[in-house]
Amino acid sequence: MSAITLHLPILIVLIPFVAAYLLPVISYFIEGWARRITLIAVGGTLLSALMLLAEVAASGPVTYHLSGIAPPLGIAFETDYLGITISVVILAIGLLTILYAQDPITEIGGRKTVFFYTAILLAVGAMQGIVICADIFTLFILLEILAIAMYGLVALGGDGRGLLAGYKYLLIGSAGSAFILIGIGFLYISTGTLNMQLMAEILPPISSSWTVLAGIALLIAGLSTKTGLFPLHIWMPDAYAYAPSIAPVISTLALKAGLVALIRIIYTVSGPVITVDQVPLQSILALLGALAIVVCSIMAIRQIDIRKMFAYSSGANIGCVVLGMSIGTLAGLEGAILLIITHALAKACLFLCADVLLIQAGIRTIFQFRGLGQTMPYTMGAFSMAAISIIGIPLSGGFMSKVYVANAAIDSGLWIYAGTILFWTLLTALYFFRIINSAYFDEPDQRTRPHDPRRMNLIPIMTLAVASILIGFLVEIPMDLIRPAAMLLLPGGGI
Amino acid sequence: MNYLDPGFILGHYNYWVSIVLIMIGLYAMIAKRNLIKKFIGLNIIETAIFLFYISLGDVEGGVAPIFPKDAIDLSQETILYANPLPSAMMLTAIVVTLCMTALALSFAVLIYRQYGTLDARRLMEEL
Repeated sequence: MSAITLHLPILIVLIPFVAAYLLPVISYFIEGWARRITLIAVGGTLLSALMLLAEVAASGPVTYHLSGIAPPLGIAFETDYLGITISVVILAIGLLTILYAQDPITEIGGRKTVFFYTAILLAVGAMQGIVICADIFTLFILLEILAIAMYGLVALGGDGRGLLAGYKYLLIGSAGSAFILIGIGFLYISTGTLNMQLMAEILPPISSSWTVLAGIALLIAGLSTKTGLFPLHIWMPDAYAYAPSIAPVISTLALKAGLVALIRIIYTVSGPVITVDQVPLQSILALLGALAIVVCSIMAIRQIDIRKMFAYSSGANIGCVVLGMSIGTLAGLEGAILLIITHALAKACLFLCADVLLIQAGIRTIFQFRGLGQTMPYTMGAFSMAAISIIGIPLSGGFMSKVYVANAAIDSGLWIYAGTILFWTLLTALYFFRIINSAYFDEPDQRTRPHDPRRMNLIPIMTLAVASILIGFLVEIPMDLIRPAAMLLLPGGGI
Repeated sequence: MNYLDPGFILGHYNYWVSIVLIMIGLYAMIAKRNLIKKFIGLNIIETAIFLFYISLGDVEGGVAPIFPKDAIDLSQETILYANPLPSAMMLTAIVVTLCMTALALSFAVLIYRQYGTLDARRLMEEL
């Protein structure tokens, strides 16, 4: 390994952070470069992440010790299959999203554009750190950086409602952070270390202590606010509905980083506690996941605002990810990780479509889709493809991941959860098909003549839409990385 | 260990204080209607967590973990040091809390300018 490849794990965290600090300084002297600098930084990070992915795929997980000091004294970054896969997905979607972003962003005005892109860079850097870090306190700090960037992004929304949504998000998120901090304190004082691997080695003999159990419970409760797991999803609809431009996509990606952190806490840190069956953590989480699926889907049907509808749909998908990973079998975990990827692709595409519809035609509600299939064929095409993936129509990306989770549930004898997933598919089809139906089979409104955006804006959307379908056909490509990731996480290599 | 032993309860008074403070903070966050008061509640929780962590780091009879370079007294081999790591972690957490507070207060200022009120119940009707 050359000097550069040796330091790749820290580079993918540092490049966005350094760019985030430089961006306001550069923008002070040269105006109008904010988006280009962001593109270059995220592109460079993606390149590093791809190099790291090649390295990990060739020779296994790469561990990086900050300043060369090994744990327990130093801070470690562990780039395993799960971390690097999600990292590449987040960066690729992030890059496409920034490519799509209209410059200047009409909603938020000129001077705030610099702040907007700074927050995006901070969020991207923090997400990279969250998915690969192996130190529980570093995880907390990175979650906070991500949270601050997200609060700022949401509050930038055009009218005052963005601010209100941001404040609501901030209150709930900060309470979650406080819980995470107490949980870390409990685990630290029980084990004497902050490193996740070392913690997992020390935990089994003391796993019956109330301190450890309370610590893990607090950590999971805190992370639930960050990932929007039912019933702590209540900030999501408002935050998504009033966030400006591409901010909902970044928020979707942030949820995925939080889910990776949750998987790490459950499998890497508290895995030993689960295996000795001290608490029915798995059944509690699976139940929460199933409840999230049902309640959020029903709420989604009742929404009129499309972005709120998408937010509740995200809530249901997060429920399914949690359900998949709490079944505790290899197939369940694989399905959960695949669902993180497919849902990120499809939901990013949907939010970009929602932004296009808002800018080109002023559409915010589900009643305004009349005849859009004729007037905006490409946008509605992408919208329909992403919707197909979210619904889980056979052979799309969403279908494959749902099949994995449902199979895992059936294999473990949990028929009710397989039924929940089927029911969820029907509910999702219900609320997406009424939009698609109205778009393709109703006559267009003659008074307004909306049209597709410029080709530069269309290409990222179409790429995401095609990817969200194609991943179902080419499921073996991500599976090559997801399978070792799941095996590495499960105790005993998943056998 | 008997959890009802008065010595045990009194010996951990700083933990009790931090639990009581967390409860007060949670109450303020849930019950108060003013956005700034809600955030003050959160600040109380964070302060209670700092107290909790600093109590974790304390070792009975321990001294500050500073190694006196010029005065090495090797006869005192059993010198006890307090654990510096929780305090170091709290330094970082204080910075994080400061950022959050600054962000929340600036949001509150902007919300007040826009709506002329900080009453959470009335503001949430706007959403």
